[in-house]
Amino acid sequence: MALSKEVYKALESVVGPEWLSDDPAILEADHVGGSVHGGGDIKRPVCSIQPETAEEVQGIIKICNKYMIPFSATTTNPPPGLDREGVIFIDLKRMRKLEIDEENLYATLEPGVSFAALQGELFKRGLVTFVPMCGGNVSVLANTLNVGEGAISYRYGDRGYRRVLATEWVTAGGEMLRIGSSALQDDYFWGEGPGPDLRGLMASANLESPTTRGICTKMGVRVFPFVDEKLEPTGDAPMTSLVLPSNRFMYYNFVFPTKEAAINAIYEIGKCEIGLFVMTVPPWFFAMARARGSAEVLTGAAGFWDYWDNHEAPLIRENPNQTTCRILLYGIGSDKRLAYEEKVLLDICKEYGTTFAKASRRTTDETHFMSADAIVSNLAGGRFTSVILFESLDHGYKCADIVNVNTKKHVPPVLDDYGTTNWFLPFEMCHICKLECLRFASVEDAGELALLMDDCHKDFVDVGAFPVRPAAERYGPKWENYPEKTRKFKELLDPNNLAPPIT
Amino acid sequence: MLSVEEYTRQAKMCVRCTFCKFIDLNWVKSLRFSRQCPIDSRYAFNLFSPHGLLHSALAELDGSLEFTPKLMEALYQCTLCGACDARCKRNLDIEVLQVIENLRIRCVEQGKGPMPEHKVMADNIRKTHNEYGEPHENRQKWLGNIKPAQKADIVYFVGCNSAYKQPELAQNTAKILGHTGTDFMLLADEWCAGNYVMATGQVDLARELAEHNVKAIEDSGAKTVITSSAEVYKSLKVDFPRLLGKSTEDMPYTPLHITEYLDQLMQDGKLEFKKNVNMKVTYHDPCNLGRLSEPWQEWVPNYVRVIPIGKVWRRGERGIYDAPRNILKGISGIELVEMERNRSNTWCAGSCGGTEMAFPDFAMWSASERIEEAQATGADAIVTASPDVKQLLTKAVKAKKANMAVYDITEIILKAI
Repeated sequence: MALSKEVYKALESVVGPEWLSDDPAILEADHVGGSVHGGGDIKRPVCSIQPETAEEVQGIIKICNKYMIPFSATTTNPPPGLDREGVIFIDLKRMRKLEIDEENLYATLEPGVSFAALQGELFKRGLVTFVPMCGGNVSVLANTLNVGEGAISYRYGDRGYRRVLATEWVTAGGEMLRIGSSALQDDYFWGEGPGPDLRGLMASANLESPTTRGICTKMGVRVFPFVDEKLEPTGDAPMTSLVLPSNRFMYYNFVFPTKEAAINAIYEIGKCEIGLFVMTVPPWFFAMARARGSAEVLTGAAGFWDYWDNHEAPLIRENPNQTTCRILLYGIGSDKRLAYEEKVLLDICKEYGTTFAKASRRTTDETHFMSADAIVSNLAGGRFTSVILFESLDHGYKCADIVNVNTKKHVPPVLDDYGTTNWFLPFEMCHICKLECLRFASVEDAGELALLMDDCHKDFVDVGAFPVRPAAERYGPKWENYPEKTRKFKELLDPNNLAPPIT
Repeated sequence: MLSVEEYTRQAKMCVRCTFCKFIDLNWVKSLRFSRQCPIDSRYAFNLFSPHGLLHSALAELDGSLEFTPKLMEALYQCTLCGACDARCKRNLDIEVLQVIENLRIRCVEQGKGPMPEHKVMADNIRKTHNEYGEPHENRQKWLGNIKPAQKADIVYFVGCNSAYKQPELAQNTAKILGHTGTDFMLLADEWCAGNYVMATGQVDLARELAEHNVKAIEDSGAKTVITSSAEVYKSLKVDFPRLLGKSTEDMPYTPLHITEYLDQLMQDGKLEFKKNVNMKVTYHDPCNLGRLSEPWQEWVPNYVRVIPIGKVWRRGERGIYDAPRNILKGISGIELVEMERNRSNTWCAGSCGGTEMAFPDFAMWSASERIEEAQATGADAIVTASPDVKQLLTKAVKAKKANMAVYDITEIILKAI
């Protein structure tokens, strides 16, 4: 299917000839599924277009509606809805404006701004944001609409949508919709009103791609005060890290004799409100760290396996219930606070029978502030998938067993992990947590990972858990037919049904 | 060169995470200088990106995509600077650069590539043994009154640019070696090292050049080869062994960049800089001297399920980064300030991979980006260690009318001794 000359000319008049193409090589590179467990039935779009402003986005959408052509938009993630024929692919990477209001603690940004870039700019100003565990390279705007959780959500609030302030949308019908303070003035400092708060209606975190009802072109996001001291980068890749000021930060790794003890201790840590973040650390993380290698340790994947087979696996076999946790203590406000947090942590650890583990006390951060190692997981196998859900620690703990059971049905044991590849990342002082279960397969077995994901979602819904983006028909009956409501909103905002469908 | 099986395996490993487009995330300090892939930064279409080219490699292999002009435009505008490769190897360890190089080789094998300018370069080299088509007998014309030794343990490999276009850089190198009391000789018959020949996928000619030059080095009896060209250095250290099916450590010589050699002399107390050079400078890491210059280790693919056995990775961390900095810091009066993208995070100035020959406007854009980054440091001058890079940065400074001097590091060293 090709685009007519008339439509092409119309699109060209919006963005100029340089930023529009229907060349087969361009379209081939755009149609990659790219998801970790395989792309599904993805088709080449009919053209690829790169707007630079919201007005250009609106111009494109209006043309799509005039000629009834479906569209799909993205920045860093693989585009949704490319299983349809004849799609115009809108690539938002050129929209890269960023403004930071230091005094009022918010940033206004466009889709092409990455988390790492925002974090780098914030560090210069003594501010901080939380970077999602999927990588600091991803779009702040897109990820925040989607899930937007990061390690320090533990202290600064649950996931992305609590950070969203005013937003600017081009609805799938081609209208410009400004939510929050931007509806009244060109300022993105406030998200609610006037009138009903429409943020949830547009963003719909976890349920489906936020682009099913339009394209978000600008967003205000909350940022947070941080230490005045600079976090200095050091080392050459892959062995880079940020050196944290030792009077304000301290990492601890500690080992609990059982998973239950670890969960209870994490709850206690949350109750005491210490730390910038806390998480459980699956043993293979250590092997991954080892496998990153350095000039002296050129180990790569072979090193991973060597370390896994000879160090981690024997320990796990000996005591599969042993659980390692990591906490970053944070002297928020002063170094005295750090000393206090250390005392509290040691008391809790003593109570739950822990021993301190590898590199148990350090002041370098390899990955959590910038999420620099997000995709390192693939080293263990040709492909991986990530089963994610957000739950209480207790419920998440039970759901992890569901993943373990399903794994045995689907995934050949590239990594015989004894069920230890699951990890928990609590948010909001442990009132909620993310459970992530990484599973590996060879490239040839990648299809099994998609089936595994599907089965896990089915079982999660049955036990009332809250997984990320399951099939709507499964999810709906358990959650007051919420997908039906979003479909109605979609009909309203996307009258010609041109945006990606709700899956 | 990768087997088809290995080429496919590597390309398929890409999950399109886009880490390849950014500098190491821990080093990101600003929005302006956070990106690292020149073609991606300039054109933004996914085809113009490492993951886009990896996917194109698979599509070309399975017949769903041909070497169209647009694909070749993306493929040959890529500077092969290796930024994507180093970044990917923080996380996925895919041989991104080798896949793109192999895609170029396939393009040549199918009679579609390289670009016309690269064919002219190759013809020149076949006829005159230098990329410019200058008379071969003029290759040592730069010597003037300089008299290298007839026989020495060290060979100075000059390279085409210094021999023909910027003879003052070759003279600088010779004078510096003379100042340190280092006896050196030239090869009896030095040919183009072939960095761009290799980069543009013309492997047969590249191998011919490697064979000739390695034999000339062997015939000279020297065991150490010094060069002041980053491009020649990469050829000596990486391309020659690779083309001859060997590892760097198995070559009959040790390649040294002039900065490595001088740094060692400094460490041994045999070199001092006595003159002040009052200047605030920033150092541009040439890709060929930095992340592309790690030793080559030949590896026959051997996997246990998905795990490569016995492979040594080239992740960019063992490039030559400290030696030029040590030298600059050792010169009194020099204040060295760093650009945001430095060492293995360096931004390609645009002269790598044969890109400048075929796409001079794009190369100039890439160089201009670097000049802006250098200006942001407040430096008076940008110093580099590659004749090709110096030439391009100088053009960019002129085009931008920027108030900034451009130096090859040998020029600074000569001021200090």
